[in-house]
Amino acid sequence: MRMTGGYDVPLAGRPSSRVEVPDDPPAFYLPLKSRRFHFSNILVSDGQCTAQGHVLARDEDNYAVPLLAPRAGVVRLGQVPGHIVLEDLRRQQEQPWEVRQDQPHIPHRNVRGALKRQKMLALGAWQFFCDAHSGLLPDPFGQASALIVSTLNLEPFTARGAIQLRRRLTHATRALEHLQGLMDDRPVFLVLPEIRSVFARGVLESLRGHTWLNLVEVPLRYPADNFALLARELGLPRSADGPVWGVRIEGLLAVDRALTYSRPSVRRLISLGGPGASKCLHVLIEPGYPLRELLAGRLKEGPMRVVRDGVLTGAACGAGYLGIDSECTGFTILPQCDRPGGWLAELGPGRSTISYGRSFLGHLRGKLVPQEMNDALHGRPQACISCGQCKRVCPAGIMPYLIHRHLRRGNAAAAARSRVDLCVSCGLCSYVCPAKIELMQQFVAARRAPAAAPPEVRP
Amino acid sequence: MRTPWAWSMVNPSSVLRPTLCAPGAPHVRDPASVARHMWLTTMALVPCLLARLYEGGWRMAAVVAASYATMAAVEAADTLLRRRVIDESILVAGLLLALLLPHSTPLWMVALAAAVAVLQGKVLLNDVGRNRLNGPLVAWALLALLWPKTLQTPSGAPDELFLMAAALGGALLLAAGVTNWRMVATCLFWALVLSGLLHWQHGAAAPLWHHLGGGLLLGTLFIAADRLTSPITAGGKWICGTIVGISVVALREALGFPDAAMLAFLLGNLLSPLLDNAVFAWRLKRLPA
Repeated sequence: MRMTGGYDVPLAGRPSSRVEVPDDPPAFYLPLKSRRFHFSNILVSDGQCTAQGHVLARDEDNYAVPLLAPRAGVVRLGQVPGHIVLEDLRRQQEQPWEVRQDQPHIPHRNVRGALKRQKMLALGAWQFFCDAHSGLLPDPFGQASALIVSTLNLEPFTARGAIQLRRRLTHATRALEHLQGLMDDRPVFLVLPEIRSVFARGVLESLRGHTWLNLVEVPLRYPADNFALLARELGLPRSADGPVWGVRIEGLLAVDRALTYSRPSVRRLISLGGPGASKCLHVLIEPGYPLRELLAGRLKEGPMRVVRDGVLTGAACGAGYLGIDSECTGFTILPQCDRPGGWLAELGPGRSTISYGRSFLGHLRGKLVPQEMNDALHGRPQACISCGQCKRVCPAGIMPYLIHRHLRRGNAAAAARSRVDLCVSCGLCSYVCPAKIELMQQFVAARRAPAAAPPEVRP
Repeated sequence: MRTPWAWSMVNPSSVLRPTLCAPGAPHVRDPASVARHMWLTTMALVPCLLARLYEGGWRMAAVVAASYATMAAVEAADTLLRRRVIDESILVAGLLLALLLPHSTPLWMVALAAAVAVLQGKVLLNDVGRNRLNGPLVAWALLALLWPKTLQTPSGAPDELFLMAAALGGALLLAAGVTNWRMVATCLFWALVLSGLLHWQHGAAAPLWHHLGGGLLLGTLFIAADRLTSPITAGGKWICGTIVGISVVALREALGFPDAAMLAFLLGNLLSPLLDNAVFAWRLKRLPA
């Protein structure tokens, strides 16, 4: 697949391939809200003992996706607002799904693979799926028009696919076989950085005869792993035929755990990196693990901004973010910018400064020297100077400056005509903008806003 | 973190980079800023300034000082009245205007032109980047309209020192990616081709004279290729550069004075939104449904 635009932000502190398992904390703090889910229907009561893998709450707006207990323990409600606290923790062997009595009858019996789908939903594997075009959770009992499996996580810094796959290749290929069973004759695409690599050959060899995969090679450049872009490039438009499903490696491993072993997925691999982290590595951890304990001893000195997920699209963790949520893929630590950038900083030659454009001498050193960046804006918000860098970096092929111009004038209809809907929210336009315009946030807001403008009527 | 208004007023971001933080995702930002671009353009104009100082002496220094002083005064008044931030765009505009005018221009005319430039370019439109016409160019056109005799430079062999200085500054801007090479290349190419043809057919002025005399090089590098007022799309740049390059030669031949190049640049500024809109429509049609 060819991709126009895209850029790898030269951020220092890439997580190494070392995987650590942190010590048990005294309590788990499970947030009831994550990026996509809001587990509003709480199914446990205060003081109740719960087993590992049991359902604590559900998100009724998202096909009743469950929030699973990461450990056996005692539930505390109302202790911390917006969280379920688990105390008195014990590790415990989970009971297989079939033996447990708390499962309701299986709906949608007529859907192909209804039992498998129900298992995936109940055991926490379904939450890793997304609709490639909208990014939302698809209907587990609906039929997809295609499935895209991405082995890449290119945003700095999220848990890398290669590290998640280490020693788990068999699990992933088994999950591919399970998913192929659900897909009927609809195509399954496996996205790889190199389709002639040892890894790709290994996947193909370990698949049995009835699974047929389309291998897709993408460049190792952010955001080539974006599902909306992949769907567009593979010629899979939004259609009445069903949504395009997207899933990453952590989802594959969860599917295998659910369908082969009938066990819930409560552990996951997350990354910990960035210029503010003293140890950049991966951590095997359960949702609800307290953030403070996770970061203790792993940060450098000074005030830090902790960003959940990647640094380009993630959210900064405020004081109210106590435990790791169930969708988190990693933490990026950035030193906070607390000092001015130096006298006449704009006049220096910038011998070691790496920028997207060519205005610093560091351009001659090559593109990817990791930089100790902080969260500084490097300037102040100004009007667009028509440099056109946003267009050059945009992987979706739209013209961010044009959409911005329409939105600034309050012309939502013109912004829609300029195809703001094609934006994949990768954040690169905001990153490169020298006038420091919050382009991505404007586009996200524009897409979310209802189509207030009446349709154009022409005689 | 919000910078206090008083502090940001006395601290244009180029002097001491402010401590603003990225308000949300993306949490890191590219180090390049508008201030950086403005400073690079200013530095690229310095060789031209030195060449003109060598030629014009103290009189030229007075022109530059008058231009800067007026712009700073207008800008400061605007800042005080409307609580806005001083920015670096006057660094470029003040110097460029002084370089466009002959050093014999009366200082009150320079001041008037500077006020027009900053008012048109920035104050009336609320911020740099909203203007469709290059401020110094409009100011020059106004003076040329009101007092055409004053602005006439003696035609003849171009000043080699100034040309070398302009070429040096232009090379810096092109290398730094601040100016767009498409405009510069097409503009110079078509001017050369057309003036070569005219020279060959009618024995008009030699192509080199066309290319370099009357501020064509300075204008192409710093006015025609100014990103705010030239087309933003690559297609628009090719077309606009062609139109400007051809009309430079045509207007010079028709009007008979070398500074007619400025009118061609003004034409380019006026045409760029139209060209851009055409390219936008063409590009939007090619996006996936």
